[in-house]
Amino acid sequence: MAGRTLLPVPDLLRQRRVELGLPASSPPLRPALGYVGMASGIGAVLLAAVLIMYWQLLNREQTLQQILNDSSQTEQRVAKAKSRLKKSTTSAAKLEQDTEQITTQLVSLRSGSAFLEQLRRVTPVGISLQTVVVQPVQLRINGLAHPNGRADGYEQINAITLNFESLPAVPLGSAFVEKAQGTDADSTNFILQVGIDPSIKPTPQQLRELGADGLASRFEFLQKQGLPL
Amino acid sequence: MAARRVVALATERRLICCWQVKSVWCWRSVDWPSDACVGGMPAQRDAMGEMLAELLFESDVIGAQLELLLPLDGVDWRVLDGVQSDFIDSVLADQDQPLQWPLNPLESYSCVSPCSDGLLAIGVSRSMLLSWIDVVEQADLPLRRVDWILMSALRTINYLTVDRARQVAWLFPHGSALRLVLIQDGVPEVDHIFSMADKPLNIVMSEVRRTVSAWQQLMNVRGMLGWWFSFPDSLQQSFMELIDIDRDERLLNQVFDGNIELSDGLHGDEPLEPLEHLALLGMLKEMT
Repeated sequence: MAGRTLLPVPDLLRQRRVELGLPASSPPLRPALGYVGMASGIGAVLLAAVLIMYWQLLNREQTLQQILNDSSQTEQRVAKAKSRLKKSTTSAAKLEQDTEQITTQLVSLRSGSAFLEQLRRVTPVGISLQTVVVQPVQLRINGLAHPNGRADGYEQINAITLNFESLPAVPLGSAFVEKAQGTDADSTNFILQVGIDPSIKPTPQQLRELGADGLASRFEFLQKQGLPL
Repeated sequence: MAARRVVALATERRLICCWQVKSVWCWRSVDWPSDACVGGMPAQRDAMGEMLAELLFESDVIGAQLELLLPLDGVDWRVLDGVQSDFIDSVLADQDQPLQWPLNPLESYSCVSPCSDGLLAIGVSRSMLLSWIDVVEQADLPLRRVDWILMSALRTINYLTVDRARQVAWLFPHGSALRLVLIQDGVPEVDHIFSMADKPLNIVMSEVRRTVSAWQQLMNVRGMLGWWFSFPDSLQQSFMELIDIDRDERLLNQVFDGNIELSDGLHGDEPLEPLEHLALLGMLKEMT
């Protein structure tokens, strides 16, 4: 009895499997516990991967948030600086404009003695000026032309027109007679318009020649200071 | 989805499927239509396949991997003495000196198991095995192994009697007949079917008794014969007269203690017959 061995399980399918070219025995079944273990393992690996990814994303998010916060502060600072810069630029531009205006006024030919001297030089003897209106880019002159022995009133008006046109600050063709009319006397009443190019400024030397020494000195001083003229 | 081993035991009357749910082996059965299985051969393969599939589907058994136990009829066995297992394939296929059994080597499938000092060969006709394979294929299930109800029941008998008797006379019903298997040290040496047609039971029992005595004389072993009756309880008592107490014979029937919990049937299934019970336990013991 002691040597009796229990019968193993036979398999009548063995020969059929061999006929079909399959292994003689069925592949061993993986127990359900094995599947559970394998699935648990895979699940644990996946879970770990997901957690690691989540952790990395969390860190990344925090880093990006930090960068964003820093950027926001920088952006705010930049915006403030830009605002200040804009204000400063505006102020500077206004200051520059004011300065230019002031300096222009300071050295304005048409508002000073140099202008009057130049006006005297271009006005023929037979012409008397009644009103002179000075605008930034235009002169409007109302006067009377008296004939003399060599030229009549119209010739004198023509002469003053040509004299004005010969000036550097007067563009060619911009001096013209708006109106000329004879009066009861021999004189001729006229209105002359003279266009002025404001970009052409007189030099200090020219100002001195016109007898405007004070103006020339101011001009030179302002030039030395680097102010726009 | 985990694969689940399912034992399918086919008899001429019904199909029993057994599977494990946690620590308990559950089973359900379905009766074949009449004449569906004749002489161990499935005659209505399509219908039987559908019944197999339906039984498992209704039982919520998913991923079944089938291990089939063939019915009593149609399978033969022989004990081979003096044959080494290395040469068994050539012995089984030898057409000049075929095994003394009704199976043609070219038209049958066979296999062997070591059995004491010899080998135990079982064989089935090619057409019958292919028919059963077809039944399982109709159910669209994978078939892992095919065994025989008698071999599996014998394994349980051997397990339960290993320390209790060297000689076992195992008697069980075979259709309307009685079948006697005489076992010596686990080796089934005699297998005989006693027809009960037109014979009273006591005459048949006398034939059984004489066969056992003749075997004992032939084997020249005295005493220690144990009997195992695989009959329903109502019939068990009828065969007790076979036990000769004066010759120290005894009944070996006992409850299986192999740590296998086999549930009762479900949904009004008829209880397992003793032979079916032994055969299922033989498979389950190997699985656990």
